[in-house]
Amino acid sequence: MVMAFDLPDDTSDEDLLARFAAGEAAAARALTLRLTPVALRVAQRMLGDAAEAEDVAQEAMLRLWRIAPDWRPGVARVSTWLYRVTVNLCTDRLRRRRGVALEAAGDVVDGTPAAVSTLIEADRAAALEAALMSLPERQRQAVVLRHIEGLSNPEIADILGIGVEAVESLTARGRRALAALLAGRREELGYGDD
Amino acid sequence: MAMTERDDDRALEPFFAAARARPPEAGPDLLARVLAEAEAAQAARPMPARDGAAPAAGLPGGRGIIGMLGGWGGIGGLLAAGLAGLWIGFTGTGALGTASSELWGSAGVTFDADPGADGVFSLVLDLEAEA
Repeated sequence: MVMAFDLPDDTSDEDLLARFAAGEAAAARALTLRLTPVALRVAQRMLGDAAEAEDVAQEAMLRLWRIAPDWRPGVARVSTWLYRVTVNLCTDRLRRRRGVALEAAGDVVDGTPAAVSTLIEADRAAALEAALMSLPERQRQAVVLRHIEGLSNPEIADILGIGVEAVESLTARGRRALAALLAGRREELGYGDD
Repeated sequence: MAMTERDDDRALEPFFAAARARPPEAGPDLLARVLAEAEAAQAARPMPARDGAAPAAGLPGGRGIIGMLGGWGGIGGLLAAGLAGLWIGFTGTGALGTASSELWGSAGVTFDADPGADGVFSLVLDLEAEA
Protein backbone atom coordinates (compact mmCIF):
# COMPACT_ATOMS: atom_id res chain seq x y z
CA MET A 1 0.00 0.00 0.00
CA VAL A 2 1.54 3.29 -1.03
CA MET A 3 1.05 6.14 1.36
CA ALA A 4 2.91 9.40 1.44
CA PHE A 5 4.75 10.34 4.58
CA ASP A 6 3.73 13.91 5.20
CA LEU A 7 5.34 14.12 8.63
CA PRO A 8 8.95 13.59 9.67
CA ASP A 9 9.79 10.07 10.77
CA ASP A 10 11.11 11.32 14.08
CA THR A 11 7.78 12.80 15.12
CA SER A 12 6.88 11.13 18.41
CA ASP A 13 3.88 8.85 18.76
CA GLU A 14 2.45 11.24 21.33
CA ASP A 15 2.73 14.22 19.00
CA LEU A 16 1.21 12.25 16.16
CA LEU A 17 -1.69 11.21 18.35
CA ALA A 18 -2.33 14.83 19.35
CA ARG A 19 -2.27 15.82 15.70
CA PHE A 20 -4.60 12.97 14.86
CA ALA A 21 -7.01 14.18 17.53
CA ALA A 22 -6.81 17.64 16.01
CA GLY A 23 -7.94 16.23 12.68
CA GLU A 24 -4.71 15.94 10.71
CA ALA A 25 -5.06 13.33 8.00
CA ALA A 26 -1.28 12.96 7.73
CA ALA A 27 -1.10 11.95 11.39
CA ALA A 28 -3.70 9.24 10.81
CA ARG A 29 -1.60 7.83 7.98
CA ALA A 30 1.66 8.01 9.91
CA LEU A 31 0.22 6.31 12.99
CA THR A 32 -1.39 3.62 10.87
CA LEU A 33 1.88 2.79 9.15
CA ARG A 34 3.94 2.98 12.31
CA LEU A 35 1.80 1.23 14.90
CA THR A 36 -0.31 -1.32 13.02
CA PRO A 37 2.78 -3.51 12.42
CA VAL A 38 3.61 -3.33 16.13
CA ALA A 39 0.20 -4.60 17.17
CA LEU A 40 0.26 -7.21 14.41
CA ARG A 41 3.67 -8.57 15.44
CA VAL A 42 2.67 -9.08 19.03
CA ALA A 43 -0.73 -10.51 18.16
CA GLN A 44 0.74 -12.94 15.64
CA ARG A 45 3.24 -14.27 18.20
CA MET A 46 0.69 -14.47 20.94
CA LEU A 47 -2.02 -16.12 18.86
CA GLY A 48 -0.09 -18.03 16.19
CA ASP A 49 -2.85 -17.27 13.72
CA ALA A 50 -2.48 -14.65 10.99
CA ALA A 51 -6.17 -13.91 10.49
CA GLU A 52 -6.86 -13.55 14.19
CA ALA A 53 -3.75 -11.43 14.60
CA GLU A 54 -5.01 -9.04 11.92
CA ASP A 55 -8.36 -8.76 13.68
CA VAL A 56 -6.64 -7.98 16.96
CA ALA A 57 -4.32 -5.41 15.37
CA GLN A 58 -7.27 -3.67 13.74
CA GLU A 59 -9.23 -3.67 16.99
CA ALA A 60 -6.27 -2.32 18.96
CA MET A 61 -5.82 0.51 16.47
CA LEU A 62 -9.54 1.27 16.54
CA ARG A 63 -9.30 1.68 20.31
CA LEU A 64 -6.38 4.02 19.79
CA TRP A 65 -8.44 6.19 17.43
CA ARG A 66 -11.23 6.33 19.96
CA ILE A 67 -9.06 7.25 22.90
CA ALA A 68 -7.04 9.86 20.99
CA PRO A 69 -9.22 12.88 21.87
CA ASP A 70 -8.96 12.06 25.56
CA TRP A 71 -5.26 11.17 25.56
CA ARG A 72 -3.38 12.90 28.36
CA PRO A 73 0.23 13.62 27.37
CA GLY A 74 2.86 12.41 29.78
CA VAL A 75 0.70 9.85 31.55
CA ALA A 76 1.76 6.89 29.42
CA ARG A 77 3.63 6.16 26.24
CA VAL A 78 1.43 5.44 23.25
CA SER A 79 3.44 2.35 22.38
CA THR A 80 3.13 0.99 25.92
CA TRP A 81 -0.62 1.57 25.83
CA LEU A 82 -0.86 -0.19 22.45
CA TYR A 83 1.17 -3.18 23.64
CA ARG A 84 -1.07 -3.49 26.69
CA VAL A 85 -4.29 -3.33 24.68
CA THR A 86 -2.96 -5.82 22.15
CA VAL A 87 -1.86 -8.27 24.84
CA ASN A 88 -5.23 -8.00 26.56
CA LEU A 89 -7.11 -8.55 23.32
CA CYS A 90 -4.99 -11.63 22.67
CA THR A 91 -5.68 -12.92 26.17
CA ASP A 92 -9.41 -12.58 25.55
CA ARG A 93 -9.13 -14.58 22.35
CA LEU A 94 -6.98 -17.25 23.94
CA ARG A 95 -9.50 -17.67 26.72
CA ARG A 96 -12.20 -18.25 24.15
CA ARG A 97 -10.25 -21.02 22.50
CA ARG A 98 -8.39 -22.33 25.52
CA GLY A 99 -6.70 -25.66 25.00
CA VAL A 100 -6.86 -25.66 21.22
CA ALA A 101 -3.70 -23.64 20.68
CA LEU A 102 -1.62 -25.65 23.12
CA GLU A 103 -2.55 -28.93 21.48
CA ALA A 104 -1.76 -27.58 18.05
CA ALA A 105 1.55 -26.16 19.18
CA GLY A 106 2.50 -29.42 20.81
CA ASP A 107 1.94 -31.26 17.57
CA VAL A 108 4.23 -28.90 15.74
CA VAL A 109 7.06 -29.05 18.24
CA ASP A 110 6.95 -32.80 18.67
CA GLY A 111 6.31 -33.58 15.03
CA THR A 112 8.78 -34.50 12.37
CA PRO A 113 11.13 -31.59 11.78
CA ALA A 114 11.65 -30.19 8.36
CA ALA A 115 14.55 -31.61 6.38
CA VAL A 116 17.85 -30.33 7.70
CA SER A 117 18.87 -28.82 4.40
CA THR A 118 15.77 -26.66 4.20
CA LEU A 119 15.86 -25.22 7.67
CA ILE A 120 16.83 -21.68 7.01
CA GLU A 121 15.96 -18.51 8.84
CA ALA A 122 12.28 -18.81 8.04
CA ASP A 123 12.26 -22.26 9.58
CA ARG A 124 13.94 -21.03 12.71
CA ALA A 125 11.34 -18.32 13.04
CA ALA A 126 8.57 -20.85 12.47
CA ALA A 127 10.09 -23.26 14.96
CA LEU A 128 10.29 -20.52 17.56
CA GLU A 129 6.72 -19.45 16.90
CA ALA A 130 5.50 -22.99 17.37
CA ALA A 131 7.52 -23.39 20.55
CA LEU A 132 6.21 -20.09 21.86
CA MET A 133 2.67 -21.37 21.48
CA SER A 134 3.39 -24.19 23.87
CA LEU A 135 4.50 -21.83 26.64
CA PRO A 136 2.09 -20.75 29.33
CA GLU A 137 0.45 -17.53 28.16
CA ARG A 138 2.10 -15.23 30.67
CA GLN A 139 5.58 -16.57 29.90
CA ARG A 140 4.90 -16.18 26.21
CA GLN A 141 3.89 -12.55 26.68
CA ALA A 142 7.05 -11.78 28.65
CA VAL A 143 9.37 -13.58 26.24
CA VAL A 144 7.85 -11.99 23.14
CA LEU A 145 8.00 -8.49 24.58
CA ARG A 146 11.53 -8.94 25.95
CA HIS A 147 13.34 -10.95 23.29
CA ILE A 148 11.47 -10.18 20.09
CA GLU A 149 10.07 -6.71 20.68
CA GLY A 150 13.19 -5.75 22.64
CA LEU A 151 11.42 -3.91 25.46
CA SER A 152 12.95 -3.30 28.86
CA ASN A 153 11.79 -5.22 31.91
CA PRO A 154 10.25 -2.12 33.54
CA GLU A 155 8.26 -1.38 30.40
CA ILE A 156 7.07 -4.99 30.21
CA ALA A 157 6.10 -4.79 33.86
CA ASP A 158 4.02 -1.71 33.05
CA ILE A 159 2.37 -3.42 30.09
CA LEU A 160 1.54 -6.62 31.95
CA GLY A 161 0.64 -4.89 35.18
CA ILE A 162 3.14 -6.85 37.28
CA GLY A 163 6.44 -6.15 39.05
CA VAL A 164 9.83 -6.16 37.40
CA GLU A 165 10.92 -9.22 39.37
CA ALA A 166 7.90 -11.11 38.13
CA VAL A 167 8.88 -10.18 34.58
CA GLU A 168 12.39 -11.48 35.14
CA SER A 169 11.00 -14.72 36.52
CA LEU A 170 8.60 -15.16 33.62
CA THR A 171 11.25 -14.54 30.98
CA ALA A 172 13.75 -16.86 32.70
CA ARG A 173 11.25 -19.70 32.90
CA GLY A 174 10.11 -19.01 29.37
CA ARG A 175 13.65 -19.15 28.02
CA ARG A 176 14.35 -22.41 29.83
CA ALA A 177 11.20 -23.96 28.39
CA LEU A 178 11.98 -22.72 24.90
CA ALA A 179 15.53 -23.98 25.08
CA ALA A 180 14.26 -27.41 26.06
CA LEU A 181 11.66 -27.42 23.30
CA LEU A 182 14.13 -26.34 20.65
CA ALA A 183 17.16 -28.28 21.91
CA GLY A 184 16.38 -31.34 19.87
CA ARG A 185 16.06 -29.37 16.71
CA ARG A 186 19.28 -27.49 17.36
CA GLU A 187 21.22 -30.70 17.71
CA GLU A 188 19.58 -32.19 14.66
CA LEU A 189 20.40 -29.07 12.71
CA GLY A 190 23.94 -28.75 13.89
CA TYR A 191 23.47 -25.51 15.82
CA GLY A 192 25.27 -26.82 18.84
CA ASP A 193 28.40 -24.87 18.00
CA ASP A 194 26.68 -21.46 17.46
CA MET B 1 25.68 -31.98 31.27
CA ALA B 2 22.81 -29.65 32.15
CA MET B 3 22.65 -26.41 30.19
CA THR B 4 23.19 -23.21 32.13
CA GLU B 5 21.04 -20.14 31.72
CA ARG B 6 23.75 -18.60 29.59
CA ASP B 7 23.77 -21.66 27.40
CA ASP B 8 20.01 -21.32 27.00
CA ASP B 9 20.34 -17.71 25.92
CA ARG B 10 23.10 -18.54 23.45
CA ALA B 11 21.10 -21.40 22.05
CA LEU B 12 17.94 -19.33 21.67
CA GLU B 13 19.43 -16.19 20.21
CA PRO B 14 19.53 -17.47 16.59
CA PHE B 15 15.82 -18.24 16.87
CA PHE B 16 15.01 -14.84 18.37
CA ALA B 17 17.12 -13.14 15.70
CA ALA B 18 15.29 -15.04 12.98
CA ALA B 19 11.93 -14.00 14.44
CA ARG B 20 12.99 -10.36 14.65
CA ALA B 21 14.24 -10.47 11.06
CA ARG B 22 11.00 -11.94 9.75
CA PRO B 23 8.15 -10.05 11.38
CA PRO B 24 4.64 -10.68 10.09
CA GLU B 25 3.91 -7.99 7.54
CA ALA B 26 0.94 -5.70 7.77
CA GLY B 27 -0.58 -6.13 4.32
CA PRO B 28 -2.20 -3.37 2.29
CA ASP B 29 -5.71 -4.60 3.06
CA LEU B 30 -5.14 -4.43 6.80
CA LEU B 31 -3.53 -0.99 6.56
CA ALA B 32 -6.40 0.25 4.42
CA ARG B 33 -8.97 -1.01 6.93
CA VAL B 34 -7.13 0.59 9.83
CA LEU B 35 -6.75 3.89 8.00
CA ALA B 36 -10.40 3.90 6.98
CA GLU B 37 -11.39 3.55 10.62
CA ALA B 38 -8.99 6.33 11.57
CA GLU B 39 -10.54 8.66 9.02
CA ALA B 40 -14.03 7.67 10.11
CA ALA B 41 -13.11 8.46 13.72
CA GLN B 42 -11.82 11.86 12.68
CA ALA B 43 -14.90 12.57 10.61
CA ALA B 44 -17.25 11.51 13.39
CA ARG B 45 -15.80 13.99 15.83
CA PRO B 46 -15.70 17.71 15.06
CA MET B 47 -12.10 18.70 15.40
CA PRO B 48 -10.40 22.06 15.02
CA ALA B 49 -8.72 22.70 11.70
CA ARG B 50 -4.94 22.55 11.70
CA ASP B 51 -2.15 23.91 9.55
CA GLY B 52 -3.48 27.44 9.70
CA ALA B 53 -6.50 26.60 7.64
CA ALA B 54 -9.23 29.20 7.74
CA PRO B 55 -12.51 28.24 9.33
CA ALA B 56 -14.76 26.56 6.84
CA ALA B 57 -17.71 28.72 7.73
CA GLY B 58 -18.26 31.81 9.79
CA LEU B 59 -20.16 35.05 10.01
CA PRO B 60 -20.13 36.95 6.76
CA GLY B 61 -17.90 39.96 6.69
CA GLY B 62 -19.07 43.59 6.45
CA ARG B 63 -18.84 43.56 2.70
CA GLY B 64 -21.11 40.53 2.61
CA ILE B 65 -23.78 42.22 4.69
CA ILE B 66 -23.63 45.40 2.60
CA GLY B 67 -23.84 43.35 -0.55
CA MET B 68 -26.83 41.45 0.73
CA LEU B 69 -28.62 44.74 1.45
CA GLY B 70 -28.05 46.11 -2.04
CA GLY B 71 -24.92 48.18 -1.54
CA TRP B 72 -24.55 51.59 0.08
CA GLY B 73 -27.63 52.91 -1.75
CA GLY B 74 -29.69 50.24 -0.08
CA ILE B 75 -28.23 51.09 3.31
CA GLY B 76 -29.18 54.75 2.84
CA GLY B 77 -32.69 53.79 1.88
CA LEU B 78 -33.11 51.54 4.89
CA LEU B 79 -31.81 54.23 7.20
CA ALA B 80 -34.14 56.82 5.76
CA ALA B 81 -37.10 54.49 5.97
CA GLY B 82 -36.30 53.69 9.55
CA LEU B 83 -36.01 57.35 10.51
CA ALA B 84 -39.18 58.23 8.69
CA GLY B 85 -41.10 55.51 10.42
CA LEU B 86 -39.78 56.64 13.76
CA TRP B 87 -40.78 60.21 13.12
CA ILE B 88 -44.23 59.24 11.93
CA GLY B 89 -44.70 57.26 15.04
CA PHE B 90 -43.89 60.24 17.21
CA THR B 91 -45.77 62.95 15.38
CA GLY B 92 -48.72 61.24 13.74
CA THR B 93 -49.64 61.71 10.10
CA GLY B 94 -51.30 65.09 10.52
CA ALA B 95 -48.09 66.79 11.40
CA LEU B 96 -46.03 65.23 8.62
CA GLY B 97 -45.95 68.29 6.46
CA THR B 98 -44.42 70.36 9.22
CA ALA B 99 -42.31 67.55 10.43
CA SER B 100 -40.73 67.01 7.07
CA SER B 101 -39.25 70.45 6.91
CA GLU B 102 -38.06 70.17 10.46
CA LEU B 103 -36.53 66.80 9.78
CA TRP B 104 -34.95 67.26 6.40
CA GLY B 105 -34.46 71.01 6.42
CA SER B 106 -33.29 72.17 3.02
CA ALA B 107 -32.88 68.69 1.59
CA GLY B 108 -35.80 69.46 -0.75
CA VAL B 109 -37.63 66.28 -0.03
CA THR B 110 -41.32 66.36 -0.79
CA PHE B 111 -43.99 63.79 -0.12
CA ASP B 112 -47.70 63.63 0.49
CA ALA B 113 -49.11 64.81 3.77
CA ASP B 114 -50.71 61.40 4.18
CA PRO B 115 -48.02 59.22 2.75
CA GLY B 116 -48.86 55.70 3.81
CA ALA B 117 -46.48 53.08 2.61
CA ASP B 118 -46.17 54.62 -0.86
CA GLY B 119 -45.19 57.95 0.60
CA VAL B 120 -42.38 56.47 2.61
CA PHE B 121 -41.29 54.55 -0.44
CA SER B 122 -41.13 57.82 -2.42
CA LEU B 123 -39.05 59.36 0.31
CA VAL B 124 -36.62 56.50 0.15
CA LEU B 125 -36.37 56.71 -3.60
CA ASP B 126 -35.71 60.42 -3.44
CA LEU B 127 -32.98 59.97 -0.90
CA GLU B 128 -31.35 57.25 -2.93
CA ALA B 129 -31.46 59.43 -6.02
CA GLU B 130 -29.59 62.12 -4.16
CA ALA B 131 -27.00 59.72 -2.73
